[in-house]
Amino acid sequence: MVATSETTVLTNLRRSTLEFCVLALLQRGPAYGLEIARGLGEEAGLFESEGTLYPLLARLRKSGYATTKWDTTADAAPRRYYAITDAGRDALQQFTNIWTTYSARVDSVLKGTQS
Amino acid sequence: MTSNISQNIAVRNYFAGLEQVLAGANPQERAEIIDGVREHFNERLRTYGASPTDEQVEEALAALGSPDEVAAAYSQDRIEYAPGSTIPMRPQGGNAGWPALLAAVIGLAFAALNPFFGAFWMLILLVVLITNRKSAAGSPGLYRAALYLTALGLLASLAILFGLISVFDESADATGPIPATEAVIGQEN
Repeated sequence: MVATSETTVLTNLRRSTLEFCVLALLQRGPAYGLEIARGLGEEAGLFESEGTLYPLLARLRKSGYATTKWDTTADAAPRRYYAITDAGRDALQQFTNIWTTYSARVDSVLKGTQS
Repeated sequence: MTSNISQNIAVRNYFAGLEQVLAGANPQERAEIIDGVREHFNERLRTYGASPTDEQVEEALAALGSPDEVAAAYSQDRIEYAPGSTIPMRPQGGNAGWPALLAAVIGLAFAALNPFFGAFWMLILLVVLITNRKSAAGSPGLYRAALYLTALGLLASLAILFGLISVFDESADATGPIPATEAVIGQEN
């Protein structure tokens, strides 16, 4: 039997959901890295650590789900903003449809086992 | 990053470590990830004010996660989204090249002094090197050199050994068989 720890469960869940959580955040508007981390909630456990977001962001950009743009207008140092693309919106919509049904089904089964 | 912070040993070590663990990644992606992490770190430091304390710098580094965590996230991401592809990450540890080479040189010295023990040593070493070749991921060139040297040493020792055996055989044939009476006397003594 495979040993299951909280870390293993979280790691597996993050693999399938984190990119769509990031896309969902970006759907509200472009954001820079620290904003994305804070939007996801640093204590929520949606990601392992802040640095691990960057391989994901690089892949989202490479796969065409997000674009990057530098904002040099602010007084502060230039910031790299990530923005969702149309392909990213389509992928997010597809995930949302599946997730809604899937998570409801999982909840239902879990509640059934608890009662 | 201010010059004081960029000179902070922990910060330098962190980004040097990140460069190292991502050395085998796609160059463009590596640059993008490292730049992103660096910008994130600087952005977080700015939230602490103009002169972050050492504790705040440590806290910002800790929030990033270790370079290994970032590399693992990159590696996992690429395996899942590019089936069949392998990530040529820089091998961690497994630097068995020098010990292997040293053992091969010792084996050669053995072989020069005593071909029998030399051949025995080389044979054992060759088996050990072949079965443990994955442990030399950090120094494949040295390990390969040790392998070739060992194989060469084994062949040379065996050649010398067989050469000596045939010389002894020939000299034994030349002296002829020992008369039965002498052999019996020899045993009694």
